[in-house]
Amino acid sequence: MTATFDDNTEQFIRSVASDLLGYFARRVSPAEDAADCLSETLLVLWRRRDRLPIEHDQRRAWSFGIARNVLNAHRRTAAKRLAITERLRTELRQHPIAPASDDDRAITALASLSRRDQELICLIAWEGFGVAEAGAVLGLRADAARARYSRARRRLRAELNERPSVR
Amino acid sequence: MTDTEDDADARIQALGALRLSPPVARELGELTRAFEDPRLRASLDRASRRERTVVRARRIIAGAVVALAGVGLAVPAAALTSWLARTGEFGNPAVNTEEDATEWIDLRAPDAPEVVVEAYPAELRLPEGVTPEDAIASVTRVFEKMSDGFAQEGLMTSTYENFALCAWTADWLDADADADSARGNRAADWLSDPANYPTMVSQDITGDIVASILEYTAAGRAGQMDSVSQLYKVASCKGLLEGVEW
Repeated sequence: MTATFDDNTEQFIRSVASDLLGYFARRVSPAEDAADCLSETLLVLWRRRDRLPIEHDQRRAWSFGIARNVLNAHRRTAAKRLAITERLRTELRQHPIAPASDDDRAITALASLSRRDQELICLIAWEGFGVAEAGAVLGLRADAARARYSRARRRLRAELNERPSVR
Repeated sequence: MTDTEDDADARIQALGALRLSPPVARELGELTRAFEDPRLRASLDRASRRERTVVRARRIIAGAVVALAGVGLAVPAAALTSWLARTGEFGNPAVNTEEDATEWIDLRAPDAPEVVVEAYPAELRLPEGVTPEDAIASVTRVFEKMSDGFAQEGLMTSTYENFALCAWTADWLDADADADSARGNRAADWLSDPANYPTMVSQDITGDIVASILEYTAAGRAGQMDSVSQLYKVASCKGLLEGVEW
């Protein structure tokens, strides 16, 4: 392993860490569990660093693919707390980074989609992925992701337009 | 006022808005840098391996169903995802989501073990001494091993039928060893009737699998018990009944 390779890994992981923390903070409850999910993801990223794609967007999508697996494992087995995350957990508890929303209709509209459609929409709207990259995170082909995204977005708009907004 | 397309996007985007406070940013930076130390990673890796072994041992129990987490209306965006195994999607999503009758199940969802239990076909007849709990434990093990995370419910049903087919095949072999012809005939009758494994039949588009089951069974009835042993092998019965890797 060359020093350059590790430097490069460090730089990439530092750059993606806050996005990954946000990804978990938006999806786990209690929100401070995001600290443990993030650590697990960082551990896997380091362990598999020799498989990191070279191109930045692909690297990011690949990292979120790992994060998604960590999230699924977290939901299956509940939080595994690590001592090393305790301080970040405390800060997340005191300063939540994903504030609660009172836009009930938007929440309900999003929740009306199938789980995979929800996740596709959120990866694009929240994590800033393109449709193809978000599809790759979810294991979907680019054309399937585009079709799914367009249909999901139509449904979402229909749900939101059903009644006048009360915001 | 009605929502425009942009407004709809903006409202969804707003649900995921983040506010990274300086203390959180500081701790995040420290944690990220801590992982750059290979000794720390090695020690966490060791702890993680131990943890996985314990968790796996606990999860092997089919009845250990995790409580469901529901979705409320005015929940925080962070708790939005439903966490449910039933995806509400049917058939092959790559082809047409409404084409097939069986639902895609997210095997990584907390309630996935419950869906595996629910998929047990009530009408499934098993040989004496084999219980539905045996079938559920075996099929649960199969789906725990599936790595891609999603499976159709129909596959669960046909795996239960496959389990029953194996149980009857094993029963026939035991009956032959004990020279118990009545018990052997009961097993042969079950295997000879595809109505006992309707999901396997419906999934066998070419008909080859069912034809071969019937051929092995007919040969067994004619006294060629090697064919019954062969059926035990080709139907992956070691995996289903003995827990041996497929």
